[in-house]
Amino acid sequence: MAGDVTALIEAASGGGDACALQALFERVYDELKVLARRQLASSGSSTLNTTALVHEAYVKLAGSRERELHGRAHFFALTAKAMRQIVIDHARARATEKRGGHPANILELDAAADVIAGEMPADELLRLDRALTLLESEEPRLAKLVELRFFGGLGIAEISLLQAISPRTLNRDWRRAKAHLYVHMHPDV
Amino acid sequence: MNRARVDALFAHAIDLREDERADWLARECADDAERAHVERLLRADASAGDFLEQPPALVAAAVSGVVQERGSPTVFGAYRVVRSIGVGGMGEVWLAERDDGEFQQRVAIKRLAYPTPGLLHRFRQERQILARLEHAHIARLIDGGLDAGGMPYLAMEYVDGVPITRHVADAAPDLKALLELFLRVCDAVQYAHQNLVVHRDLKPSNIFVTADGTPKLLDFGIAKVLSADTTDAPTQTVARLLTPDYAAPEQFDGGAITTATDVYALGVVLYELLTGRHPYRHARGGASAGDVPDPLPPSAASRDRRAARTTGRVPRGDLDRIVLVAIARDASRRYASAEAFATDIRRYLDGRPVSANPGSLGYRLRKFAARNRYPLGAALVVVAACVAATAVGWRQMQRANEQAARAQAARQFLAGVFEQAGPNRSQGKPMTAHELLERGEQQLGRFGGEPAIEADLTGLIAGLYWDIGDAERALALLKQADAAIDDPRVPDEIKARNLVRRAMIERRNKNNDVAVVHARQALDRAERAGAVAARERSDARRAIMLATEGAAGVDYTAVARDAQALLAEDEARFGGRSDMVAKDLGLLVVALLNAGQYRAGVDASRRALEIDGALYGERSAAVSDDLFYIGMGLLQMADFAGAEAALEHCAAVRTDVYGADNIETIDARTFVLLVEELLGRYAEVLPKRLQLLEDQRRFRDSNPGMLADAYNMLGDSYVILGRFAEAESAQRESLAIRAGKDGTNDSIASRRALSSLSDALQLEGRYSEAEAARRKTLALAVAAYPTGGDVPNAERGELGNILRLQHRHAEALDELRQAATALEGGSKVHASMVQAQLAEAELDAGHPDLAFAAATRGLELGRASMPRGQRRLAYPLFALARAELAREHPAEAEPLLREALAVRSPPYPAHDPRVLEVKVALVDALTGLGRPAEAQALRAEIEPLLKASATPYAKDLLERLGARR
Repeated sequence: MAGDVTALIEAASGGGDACALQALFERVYDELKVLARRQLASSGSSTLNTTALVHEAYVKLAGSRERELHGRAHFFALTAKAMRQIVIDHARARATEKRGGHPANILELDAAADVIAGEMPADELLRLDRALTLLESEEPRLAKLVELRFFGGLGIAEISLLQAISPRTLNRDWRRAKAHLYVHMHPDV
Repeated sequence: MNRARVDALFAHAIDLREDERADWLARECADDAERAHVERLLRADASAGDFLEQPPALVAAAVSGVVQERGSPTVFGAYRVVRSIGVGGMGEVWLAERDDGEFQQRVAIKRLAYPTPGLLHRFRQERQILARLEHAHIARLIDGGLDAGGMPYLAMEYVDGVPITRHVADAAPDLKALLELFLRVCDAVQYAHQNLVVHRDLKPSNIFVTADGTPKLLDFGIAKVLSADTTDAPTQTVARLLTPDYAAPEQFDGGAITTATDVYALGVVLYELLTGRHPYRHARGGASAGDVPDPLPPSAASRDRRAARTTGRVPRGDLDRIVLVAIARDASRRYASAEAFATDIRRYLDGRPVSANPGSLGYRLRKFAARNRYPLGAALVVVAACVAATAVGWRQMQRANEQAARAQAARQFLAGVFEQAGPNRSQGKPMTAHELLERGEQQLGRFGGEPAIEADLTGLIAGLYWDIGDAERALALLKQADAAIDDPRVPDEIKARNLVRRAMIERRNKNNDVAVVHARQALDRAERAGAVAARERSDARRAIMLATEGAAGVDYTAVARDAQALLAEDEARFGGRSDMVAKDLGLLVVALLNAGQYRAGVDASRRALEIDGALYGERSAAVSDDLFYIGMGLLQMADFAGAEAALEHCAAVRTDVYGADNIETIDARTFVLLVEELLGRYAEVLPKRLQLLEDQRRFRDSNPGMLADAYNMLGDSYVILGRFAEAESAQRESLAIRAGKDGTNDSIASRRALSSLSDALQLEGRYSEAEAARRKTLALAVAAYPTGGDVPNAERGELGNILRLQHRHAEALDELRQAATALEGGSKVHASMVQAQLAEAELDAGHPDLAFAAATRGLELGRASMPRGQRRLAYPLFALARAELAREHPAEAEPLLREALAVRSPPYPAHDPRVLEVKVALVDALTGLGRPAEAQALRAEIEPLLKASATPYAKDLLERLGARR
């Protein structure tokens, strides 16, 4: 498996091959879900940590060998994007349920909510997603940072290494990204 | 409106102080609309706070189907449910009774809320260990199985009690009783740790107290059972199960779960018991270290609490520090074990000094620092700490294990690797050792069907990786080998060997408690293996000593004694010139050097050197380690020439073995330079220091402390060479590396560089900046050593001195008199310095008699604590000479000044104020002695230098020079 993903990563990151990119994205999206299910099954927890998942997906798909940096950076960016998709898909489903959908077993899940630090309500996540899409069109670099950090759970040090941008710059970018998104989400600030 | 412009303005404005922003914006913004936009972003920045700081948790429903509805059960296997007790994070809990009529047994049944396929398997694996936990204060794990619906459950001893926080709130024990209760909890945790079980999820609701006041710990080892297979699942998954308030940072960061993890939770519980609040109240969840504000000391946190006042539970001083050490976010700064934690609490209860101290390059640094304060200089102490933490001899352990029973397979395997390395397969280029090992590693899979050989070779290659300096790769392989730890097809001696290797690498990475656990497991395996594992047994015992040796509160004399005993046994078993004996000697050397027995340490290391040279060759890692410790010992004995020879030899061997920019080589090179400086060769050392710094730069992320120290030392060298501006920028670089996320240097780790910065600024004549830096170092020192002591008072003395230079005599005298009084009976080196500074302040304030008394005392203390030629001795020498001159005793002054000058020049250049001030006084003395020609010649030499200098001190000196004309 690592082999053909490697080829996909190379095709996608090197020549801007759109088909390869789409194939890879789907692959990563599926793999994240598979890994998440497996972790859920073996951990006994109702929630998962996205940081762990993203890293696990990397090992699983790209193999444990060190890749050259460009390929790694590309892969993590893609995985963070896939994670964003999964989280937002879920938030959308859940928001629908709340608006009079079926009375699923949300309650039981909510019982574990006290161990989830910082989880955003579904509708806030959706608004964040929209704000992020807007930011993407204005300043793609900031949007990418938010994907890597918030959805991908990567730390500043790791992102710095991947993108060869100094932590100082990243911290400043992070602050800027947060402010822009915050303004989008709270227009009355 | 131009969006890019708004963004650029905003990006710039966030770096400004808030009170500067309005003016700046008014100046820079094109119009009101633009300004309103920027201000809106600034408001958003200010309110964003925690926004986006916690990654979203992926909820089960996002990825899996609907969770099934389950009803309330009435039986679990042989247990009949009495009633539901509650619902926890893991699932529901019931009180149940055994149903078979044989005997009444009440149990607590815990059923997991979510299906967990691997659980029963892990439960069976862990059960043996958990069943071994028989302790009065630990609730036992009794049973486990599947309920009627196929859901796994656990049955545990039922404890009728209340959580410890409730108990303390209700019973309101006084401080002593509370601590004694807590100590019983620590004892239980320590007992479990000794049985290799870490709780991982200690919290008040897992620490019950029964009606008669007996504490009972619940759920021991459960978190482990619930966790996924430790070999491949990230711990973060487990962390989500835990209660964030009590889970240690490493449980979120994927760090190693060790006994220190439980220490953290215990610390948080104690904090809460003492203060009624959580130390990191605003830091729930997986926030990583740098984002979290430091907790208030418990005394401050409980100050305003009525409960604390009325029950007399206000903790103070040492107890504050004990708790803060226990809850340090960095696991390596915590107590290594519940026992060490408990020991400090006991010491506190007995009114004895405690080991907790936030000065914290660790106990070894303090020990080194205490021993070496004067002959080596402070810079050395910092590096000594880094080096003291370096392992000696352990690398040797990984050698010569090749003679295993599977030698045949190993030989074939290696032959295959070497064959590949032949010119045909590697395009004619000779392969590096690393490439060779990579090839070998790739072929490990060939032994998939033979786990014993695979495990053995994996360990062997890991050992070789380490030998060529790639610890990271070595550790990764050993973790891989851990997968086979329960595989019965792998013989115990191989497991023991790999566990020892793992322990040694963990120790090198300063994960001492992880190292101890692996070393103990290694010993256990080796003992199970019997006589075939005699070597592994010896290795494991050594590893245990080495790993525990790094912990707080170690008695090195006792370690040395243990090492001697092991040495004697191994001499008898393996022969006096065997590799085992060389390894034992390596351990003994570390213990002896740390115990201050330098001569014996050097002798032992020489003996090891002889054996290692014969066994591994003159150019081997083992030989370089022996040389290193010979150098260290000689350095401590002030045999600088001998130390230089040994360390240079060591650096050369390490450059051969590891390369010039390997961390081991850098350690040796750092010391060579220090010794050369101690020999007075500052100017020659400088270019070498810059070269070394180049090689250290790549450690900026992985070992920032080392790089910060390197800049600090570079700055100190510049100060000695009189190049103050360069010194200043080097110190600022050191501070930048150490700065926290917010760009400030509020940690005690920054004190030395700040102090050096203040020195450089002072010598540049920038007094107000120097004073500000000094006030900061003083504040850091006072915070770190709240009970006072040498460091804060030495800092206070420096502050007094900078005040004196600004002619603020009353303030200067205030600080200096306070520091001098406080240092009575303290470190003589520091007391001597402060007395000298006090004497000068008294002189400048016009009190020659008081000055004479202080200076006399200062020199007396200096002579008693420093050898002739020590540079710090120049301060009391100069102060006393000035006092003698003020009393019109030029004949007494002259020899003192000559001695001070000999100490300062060289190395200081002629224009250095520390040289000029002595010469000014010497002119005075010569004039008073009726030797005008000599006085005139000297005056002619220094007057232009003083006039060329722009510093206020140069003006003062000119004035002093003029007074005698």
